[in-house]
Amino acid sequence: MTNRENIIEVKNITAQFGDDVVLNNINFNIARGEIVVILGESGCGKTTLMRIMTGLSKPAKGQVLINGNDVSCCNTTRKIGVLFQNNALFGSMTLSENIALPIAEYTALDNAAIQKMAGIKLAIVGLAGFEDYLPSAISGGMKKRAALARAMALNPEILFLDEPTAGLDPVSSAEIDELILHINRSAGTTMIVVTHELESVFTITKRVIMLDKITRGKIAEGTPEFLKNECPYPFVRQFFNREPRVRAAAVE
Amino acid sequence: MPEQKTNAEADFSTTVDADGGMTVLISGWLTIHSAAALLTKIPGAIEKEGFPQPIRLDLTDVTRADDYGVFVTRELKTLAALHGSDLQVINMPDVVESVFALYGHISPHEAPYTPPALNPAAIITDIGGAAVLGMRKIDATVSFIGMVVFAAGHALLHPGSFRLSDTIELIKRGGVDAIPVVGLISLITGLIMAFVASVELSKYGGNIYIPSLIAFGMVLEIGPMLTAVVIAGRTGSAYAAEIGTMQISEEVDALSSMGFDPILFLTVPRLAAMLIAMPILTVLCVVFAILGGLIVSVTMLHVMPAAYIQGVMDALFIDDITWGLAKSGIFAILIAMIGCLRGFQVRGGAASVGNAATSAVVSCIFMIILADSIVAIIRIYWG
Repeated sequence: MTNRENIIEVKNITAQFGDDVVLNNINFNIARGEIVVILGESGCGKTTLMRIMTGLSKPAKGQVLINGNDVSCCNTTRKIGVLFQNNALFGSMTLSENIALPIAEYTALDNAAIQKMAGIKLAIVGLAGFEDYLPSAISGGMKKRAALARAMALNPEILFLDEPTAGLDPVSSAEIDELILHINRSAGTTMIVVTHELESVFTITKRVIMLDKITRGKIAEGTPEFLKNECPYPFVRQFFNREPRVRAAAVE
Repeated sequence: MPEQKTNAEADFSTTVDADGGMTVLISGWLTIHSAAALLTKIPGAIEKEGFPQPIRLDLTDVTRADDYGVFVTRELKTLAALHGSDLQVINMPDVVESVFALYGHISPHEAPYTPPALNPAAIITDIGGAAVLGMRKIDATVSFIGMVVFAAGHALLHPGSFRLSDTIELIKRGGVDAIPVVGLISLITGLIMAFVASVELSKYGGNIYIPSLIAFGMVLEIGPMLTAVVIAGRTGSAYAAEIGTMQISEEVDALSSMGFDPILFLTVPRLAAMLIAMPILTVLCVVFAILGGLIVSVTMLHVMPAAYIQGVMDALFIDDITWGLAKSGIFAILIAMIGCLRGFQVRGGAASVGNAATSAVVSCIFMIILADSIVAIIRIYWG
């Protein structure tokens, strides 16, 4: 059961807010240990798709299977870690307490061991020594790393990362990218990344799933290089070449 | 989950070696799933052998490892070292070795432990610190009052800068929407007052004094106070939470950076809304309480409705009504100012917003009662 090839199967997902169709019949599979990037314009439903895949929202139609279990009915939270767009670190807890929270809930380790493991997790993301800091006292890049440490506190099989490098300086972005690759290689963690940063896309992934704002479906899928140079849809090439729509339309 | 358990189980066995040492053979997953179990059982097994030298941790049969597993071996090593024996990790399979290569050098940051010093001088610095903190609070409060007065003056002199639409919305939220709760509470208060008063008054045939008792008591004291307490809990806390949330999401800073005065933008409309809504709510509160008294008097105490209304009319003087409304105005200023001040003082995260809301209600009620007694004293000397 745990060794099936596709750890995540997204089947015919349709999402609606009222009469507004946000996602229309999305299908794809994600293999164990893969890093997949979900791309698309602002407002194309990337975050909605992510929320459905993590079981935080329910789709109007279709289902998401993690290890063959439907996320909307079965308890899969233990197997996934989520890095939220705004980090969602608990503001009233120190970094160490933020990370210790899931460890204390889901393992039988004693308090001293939990503290040490929280310290190790912070050290892995390069935040050793910041255990007693409150989230409000550290920089944006550090918050991202702390949130990543919390997301992977229980060594989940799957990590969902919503805009992990948004709003970070190039150096911090590169560090986060490296960290993502490092975690993927060392632990074999499957990762689903929503991002806008094209440089990150080329660094971290071999497979991009692109959503379209007009048709509300999956418009293209493939390696970033393929989508940039050879994709039949001009819009996808524009996106990857960072061309404004007006100019591209004139060229057509 | 049972499925996980079968996959993630780890086991161990111990053997005593010919050289006097011992071998602990771990098999299965050396991961987060087994870390706690291994850490509770293996130390006991080693202790049973009396911490021989050396202890070999044989990982031949480990099929998977992670950072929790590395942590387990490190903890065992530390434990063995404490008892003077050396723990060696042997026969690492490749999958395990790569994990150890990754995480082996990562250790939690250990701050040197410094026991809190018992310094008698600390008491003096603590007292001093508390005094300085208290002074700063007073300073912040006084400057806030100053800023509000200044902003309110500015709004009066430049009516264009006053946010009328916000104020109307705030009157709706803080005033109109509060009518049901204020009305219900005061109606019930009127019922209770009439009922309790009749217990004593009926002995002397004095039920006819119930309307004047309710009217006088409600107009001068209970009406303004009751309304103020309800509104402090309802609106004072809402102001604190709303502005506090704006504060932590940097919306207040955004206002300042766009050249808006946050006090003029946020506090003055709230102050105006309260000043308009509170006296009206107080009047409603009094009316409903008198109505409540009427219900009990007419239905249970055999007072004629006309006599009741006449009694109310006789008891009310314009002077008392003015004092009552003036008090409700003072309470309105207190509630709006304290709610906003607590909101602006929010720093940090969600817990701070909760503290601000609580503190706003507590401070409001305290200040309302204090102000009420001060007004009562002033009224005695007024003449």
